[in-house]
Parts: sequence; structure tokens; C-alpha cells
Amino acid sequence: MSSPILQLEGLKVSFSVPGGTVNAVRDVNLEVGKGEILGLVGETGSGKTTVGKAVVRLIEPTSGKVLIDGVDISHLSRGRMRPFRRKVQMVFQDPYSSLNPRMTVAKLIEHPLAIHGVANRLERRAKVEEIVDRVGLSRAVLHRYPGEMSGGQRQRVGLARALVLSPELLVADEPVSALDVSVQAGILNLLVDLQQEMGFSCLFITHDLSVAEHLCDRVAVMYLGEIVEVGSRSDVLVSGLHPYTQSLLEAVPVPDPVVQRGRVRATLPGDPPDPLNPPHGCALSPRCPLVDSRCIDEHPALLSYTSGQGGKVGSEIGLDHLIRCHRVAERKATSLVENTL
Amino acid sequence: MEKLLEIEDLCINFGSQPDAVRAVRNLNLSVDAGEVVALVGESGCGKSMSALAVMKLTPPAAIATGSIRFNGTEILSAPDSVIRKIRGREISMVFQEPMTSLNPAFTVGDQIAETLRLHLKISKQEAAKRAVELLSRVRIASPEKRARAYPHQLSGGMRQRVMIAIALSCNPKFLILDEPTTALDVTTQAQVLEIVRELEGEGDTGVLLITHDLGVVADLADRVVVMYAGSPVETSDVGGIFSQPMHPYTNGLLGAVPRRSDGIRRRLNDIPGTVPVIKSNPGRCAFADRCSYAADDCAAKEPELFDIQGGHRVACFHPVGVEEGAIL
Amino acid sequence: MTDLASTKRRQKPQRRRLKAFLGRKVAVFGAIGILIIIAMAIFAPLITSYSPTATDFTHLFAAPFSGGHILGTDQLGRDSFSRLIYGTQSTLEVGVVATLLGTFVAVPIGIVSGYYRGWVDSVIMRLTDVILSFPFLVIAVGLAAILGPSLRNAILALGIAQIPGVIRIARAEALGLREQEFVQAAIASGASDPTILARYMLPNMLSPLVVQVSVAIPGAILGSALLSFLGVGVQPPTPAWGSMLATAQTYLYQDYWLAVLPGVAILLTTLCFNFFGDGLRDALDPSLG
Repeated sequence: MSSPILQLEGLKVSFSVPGGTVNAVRDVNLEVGKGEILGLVGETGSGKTTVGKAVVRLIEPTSGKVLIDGVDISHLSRGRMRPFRRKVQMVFQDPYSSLNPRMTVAKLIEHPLAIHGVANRLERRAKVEEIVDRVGLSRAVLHRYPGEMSGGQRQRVGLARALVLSPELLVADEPVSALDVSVQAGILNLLVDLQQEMGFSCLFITHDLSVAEHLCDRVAVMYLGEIVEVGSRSDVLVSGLHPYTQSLLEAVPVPDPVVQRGRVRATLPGDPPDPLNPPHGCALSPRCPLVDSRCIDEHPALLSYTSGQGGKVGSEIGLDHLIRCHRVAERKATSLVENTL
Repeated sequence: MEKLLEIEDLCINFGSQPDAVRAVRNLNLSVDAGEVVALVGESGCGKSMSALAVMKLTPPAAIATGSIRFNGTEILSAPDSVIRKIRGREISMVFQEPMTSLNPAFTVGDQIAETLRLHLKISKQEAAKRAVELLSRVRIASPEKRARAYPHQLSGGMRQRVMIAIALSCNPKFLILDEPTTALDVTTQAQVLEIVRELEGEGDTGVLLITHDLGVVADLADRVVVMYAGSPVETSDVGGIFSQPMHPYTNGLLGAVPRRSDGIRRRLNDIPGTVPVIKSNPGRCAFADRCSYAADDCAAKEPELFDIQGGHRVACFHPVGVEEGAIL
Repeated sequence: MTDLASTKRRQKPQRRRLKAFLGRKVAVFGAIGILIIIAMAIFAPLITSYSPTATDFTHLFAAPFSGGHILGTDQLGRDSFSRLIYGTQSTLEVGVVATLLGTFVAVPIGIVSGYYRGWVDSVIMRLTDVILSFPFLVIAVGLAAILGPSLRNAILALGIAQIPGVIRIARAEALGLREQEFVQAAIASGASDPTILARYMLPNMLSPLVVQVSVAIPGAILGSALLSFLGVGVQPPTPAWGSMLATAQTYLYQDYWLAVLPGVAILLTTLCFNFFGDGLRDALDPSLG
């Protein structure tokens, strides 16, 4: 496979807040391959949105690298950043606040083309109409304002705006969580179709494991600013091994009363720790059912456990199944190799 | 025997007659002691408005007609003095947004104690002690310490559990949960669901659960009422709704949810179009425009709830999975 | 059955705002009042046949409705009605121009301050803090005294005195807008700073700024009256309500009408602008989208 479109190397983002420094993202290493949808899953405060913002450079990382097509963009100047802005586009969670209320749909979608000086006015108009068709909106909406449309329509406009430049990477930050299920289904179907047609890669940020499992080729789970488990969709979401991943999977209610009431509904006790005072050892240790003394004293590393079938250790696209847990490491001690990433 | 809560022909209108927007139309629903009834639907279907009517908390512009009887008291016509005695003491409500429902100027312990003292004649010390007990009942770690915390010092999940503690403080007979877990993370949602399950296991509190999340319904509900555009379209025990959804809307909703057991990128069932706002008498099925089963008769008359089998009632001329002509 | 949601959506937001505004009686009253005042300023020569500066020593301190003078005359026998009407011109000019001047200077500074934050913001904010520690009118009077009394300088003084306050308002708006996702989206799509400031920030700040202007105008009018009253504003013989009031003070026992007339004029004008501004604020409420 070809080289990845996005590589995060030791990404760290800190914010100073009253009372200290919050490390919103602590040492994240991640790759998104060409044409791949990578799901970044986590709860509030896990740092998943901050990772997304660092990828589109809405936030400048404190340290570490953000490589787009092999070039580190994390500290590029505005001018040098521009060509990369074209390659990487973003869709936001809130279809109500992510569109300038004073612009018509036509202007909203055309604007990225104008910013990057793509084509002349007529050609731009044609491109706008083409993408509007593709996202399943009628051309009648071109002259409307965002305030005159439903949430689902607005999110389609958001997608059109992001895709009109034919980006190589789409960062989608919870694009369906503000929508009703019936509308959400339409947007997810659309995203699948567009990704197939246009072939972009996608960093899909979500808190919803069902959506991640529905959509993503690979999945990374974040907790308190770091990745605790990453691997293929089935590695993580079917046979996930990290206790946090497992409790997330157990916590999602299944829309079937027979199944839901029959399963073990073990809940992770307590609440995520104060990001100002993260636990010294494993971030999950105060809540983890498997905790032992080592977990409290020593911060676990992200180690590779790759199953026999097809997994190539150190392969470019990172097909590895990586887990950050002492207890899993103990269990898998014989087959674990220190991750060199 | 009298039900704990009985809603009959509830209609809620906004505005004056010919142009009135009909937010809720002919809702019939009853909740027994110890029972969880879920009111399910997407935004704008009238489910939250119905819940507010039970507490007589509908906005001033809303006109509610019909009957809501709670424990023998007619809520809609009861004077405010009677309602105030019921609210918070006999019927409690938990709202979706835990951020804005707490007073930022007082500690959560004080706020729980205040509710206790408002409804029960107990001393300050007794109330403070009970507040701590309630916090531990809703699974808040180190409750003595948390009781002294201000709302902004707590996470969203903790605040929602504080709201539940306040709602449970006077051992209400009836609990309304309005999208109680929508703003919460899955692990916190699991904690809240566990609290409600525990409550159901130990007592005879009736619960009206308002939600759009079918997973939550599957976890908690005994019976389900599916609402669309202000009126109930399907009602059944929880098993019937999930194993044999008969209304095309219910069927569509269930098909729209991505399921973990599905294959990757399975085509999801989306329901094109938007929920219509109903004014006057529609005279036709409100869902017909978005329905793939719609036929001529759907545009001629509005279907009424019809008992198809053993209490599974559907308002549809062409129920899914039922042979044509089986109903008249 | 009607699809209210879609018909309502098709209705232009401007339409709904106009409706909300017209629904408020006081606001409409204010708007009409302002229109009348503006008309008075423009059509002054048509409304009154007397020159506001022509003296008539045969009719000093004439009572209202006597000797052909609707509102009487002053100590120099000048027609009070004429002076009141013509006074609208200088009063409005000072109030409106000074406010617009202050707004045009302050808004860009405020937007830049709120958008870039950091040290730029800190410097600008500390400066406004220093200036804001003096009351508005004290600054205006001080500036007018330094610049020398004239209509132009009164405008300058009142305009400059408004700048720090408006900077703070514009900055607060900009700070909030900067965090809005559509601005973030513009940054992420590579839009340049001037584009973001001009097309994303400014248009979305217009509503609060228009309200701010309509509320600031009566303040400036009162200020201009004070400047004239203190003798550092519009100079005689140009009629101005403030200076009329100041002169009338001397003759309060002889002819209280001279004081009442400009006083009522100032009161009504500021009231009209305040009512209008409040109505505007409600109509432009973002929840009406």
C-alpha cells in the first residue's frame, strides 16, 4: 500500500487554564492510509476533537508532528499552509453554527474555491452545482440561507463545502451526532457513497461506537488524551482487549430488548479523572476493574499485539493492533513485541 | 383498578384556532405503578411537550385539552396550589440538560437539602445527611466531599446524577425522565440506566421515559408509545415494538440505527423529508409523504390506532408484516 | 395539513425581524418620532418662516401664541419655535455624526483585538481601561475644551469619547464569534485574515452594532447639549438646544418657557432613540434567526 496521507507523531497539545496546564492530547501516534476511514472514538474530554483541530491546524500542537503527505504542517506559516488547507477539509458537528448565517448556500460552497483561486466564476458555479447534486440537495437551495434549512440539509451543505475542493483527507468531527436517527442514516449513507466515488481518506471523530463500527476501516480509542487501543474495526470493536474499550462496548445499549436485557451490563464506575491531575500510572487505573499495583505506579506503553492473519508488524499502513494496558500485556506476554513506533 | 397516571385525548395547541399548530394530538397513555413507559420519537414529535403537560409546565402559549389524571387528581384543571404540592414531591422530572438545571450559586448538597426541606418537615442537619445518602445512591463517589461542591466543579455526568438525586429526594410516586442520557457519554449513560433499573427493581415508582434512543428504550421500557408529528402511531409492549414493528415509521427508525452486529457500511434506512407541522385536521396520514408503503387511502383519511393483536396498536392502513385486508 | 416549518423557513429573516419590530408599539413610536425629528431638521425653512437668528427688539420674552410667535420669543426677541426647529439640525448632526465617527474608528480596533487576542488585545484593553476609568462626559468636555469650541470640535470630542466603550463591545462580539464553528471552518479552509474579518466576523456583528449605535446616539445628543450648556460646544448664534437651555437658565424667573422648550425637546429626542434602540435589540435578537 502507498504511504499514508496523515501521520501523527508524538502529537501533544497543552492548554493553560486557571489552576495549571491541561494536556488535552498526550503523545498520540496515528496514521490514516489513503482511501481509509479511521474512526477516532472517545468520550467528552478524551482529546479526540483536539486531535482533529490539530490536523486541520486550527490548533498549533505543543510538540510532535502532523505530517500530511509526508510534510510536517504543525508549524507552517500561513502562506506555506495554504496548499495543505486545500488537501485537508473539515466537517463540523453542529450544522447550525458551522455555516455563516449571512451567506447563501451557493456562496458558502463556492467560497473555498474562491479562496484557493480555483477556476473562473463560471467554472466555479458549475462545480458548486455538481457537488450540490452529489450531496443530494436540490439546486433550489442554492439561493437559500442556512437559517432556512433543516439540520440534515445544512449538514449536506457542510459536506458539499468540504468536498468541493476534492480534498485528500476529510476530518469529520461528530458530523451526525446533532441529527435525528432517520436524518443521521441519510448522512452516513451519503458519506459512504461519496467516499467510494471520490476516494478521499477520512478521520472520523465520534463518540458513537455503533457509528464507528458501521463506517470505519480502523478504529482508535482515546481516553484522557492518549490512544488506549487502535486496530482494525474488528480487532477493536469486536474483540477489543483494553478494559476501557470493553466497558465502552458493554455500555452501548443494543436496540433489542431481548439481547440488551440478556447481556452483562457491567458499568465502569466513577468519572473520568480531573485533567489537571491525571493519575500517575495508567489513566484508567482509578476506574479499572482489572487494576493492580503496577497500573497505579507505572504508565503503560502502547504495545503491539498483531493477530496471525494478515497482520504485518511494522507495515507502512499500521495494520497492527496496539493496546496500552499492563494487564493485557501480561496476558499476552509471550506474543507481545515492544512497539517501535 | 385506577392507573397511577392516565392521559386521555391529550391535545396541545399553540396559537388560536384556525391557525393553531397542533403539537400533540389525541395522546392516550397510562402508566401503572412500577411500570416504565417510553415515549419515543424524533425532534418535533411532541413527546417533550406531552411530558411537560403532566407537570403542568407547558409554555403559556400552549393550550392543553383532554385529561391527565394522576392518582385521582385531574392535573389540567387543578389549581396551582394543588399542582405545586404534587410537583417535586409526587411527580419529579429530570431534564436533558444537566448544565443549566442547577443553581450555580449553591453547593449541590445545599440544593438537594433545600428540595427535601421544601417538601418534608425535617431539620437542616437531617436534610444534609439525607442529601449525602442520595448522592451515594446515585453512585457519586465520596458523596460527603461532592455535597460541598458547586455545580461547575462537577462533570456533566455527575450533574445529571445530582439532578436525579434531587428528583428522587422525596421518593416520588412518578418520575418523568426527559432525554435523561442524551447529553451524556456512554459510560455515564450506563450508570444512569443502572440507577433507573435499580429504582424499578426496588419499588413501585411509575416512570415516563422520553427518548429518541432506541437502545435506551430496549434497556428500560416495559411499554412503548411511538409518536410522530404529535400523535401516537404505534403502541405495544417493548417486545412487540422491536420484534414486530408494524408502523412504517417505527420500522424505518429501527432500520436507520447502525447496529453493531451489522456488516460494515450496510445501507441504512433513511427516511427522506422532514416532520410536518400539523395545523387544523390533517384528514390524511401525517407520515404518508415520507412513507414507502403509502397508497391512495393514506391521503384520504387519517388512520386511527387499531388493536392488531393483544394490545399492539398501530395507526396505519398498511401495517408492515400484516397481510393486506387483515384490518378494516 | 400545511408544512409550516418549510413555509416559515422560506420567509426571509429580514421579514420576520421587521414583524417583530412592528409588533412593539413603543419601538414604532420611537421610529416615527425619529423620522419627525429628521424631517424637522431637513425641512426647517419650510416649517417656520422666522429666521432663528433674526432679533426683534419689539418682542422680547413674548409668551407662547402671542405676536405671531407660536412658542414666543427669547431675550433677544428671536422666535423660539424657529430656534427649536433649527436647533434640531446641530443637535442631530452632533449626535449622529459623533456616534458614527466613534463607531467607525472603534469597531475595526475591537474586531482586531478580539480576533487576534494575545498581546495586541492586552495592549488595546489596558488602554481602553485607562480611558474608561473617566466618565464619558468628563472626557468629552475635556476634549472639547482642549480643541476649542465649535460644531466640528464638539463632534470630534463626543466621537472620540465613545471609542473605548465601542471597542469593548466590538471586541466582546468578536471574541464570541471567533469561537463559532463557521469562523473555524473559514480558517480551516484557508481563508485569509482580511476575508475572515470582513466576510465572517463583521456581517455577523452588525445587529448588535446597529443596536449599540441607536442607543449611543441619545447619549451623544445629551453630551452635545451639555457641551453647549457649558459653552464648549456649538457657538452662538447657531441655535442648539444645549446653549438655549444654558441661556434660559439666566432668565428662569422671567420666562420659564425658554428652559422648558429645549428641555422637552432633548427629553423627547433621547426617548425616541432609546425606544427605537430597545425595539431594534428585540427584533435583531439572534433567536429570531
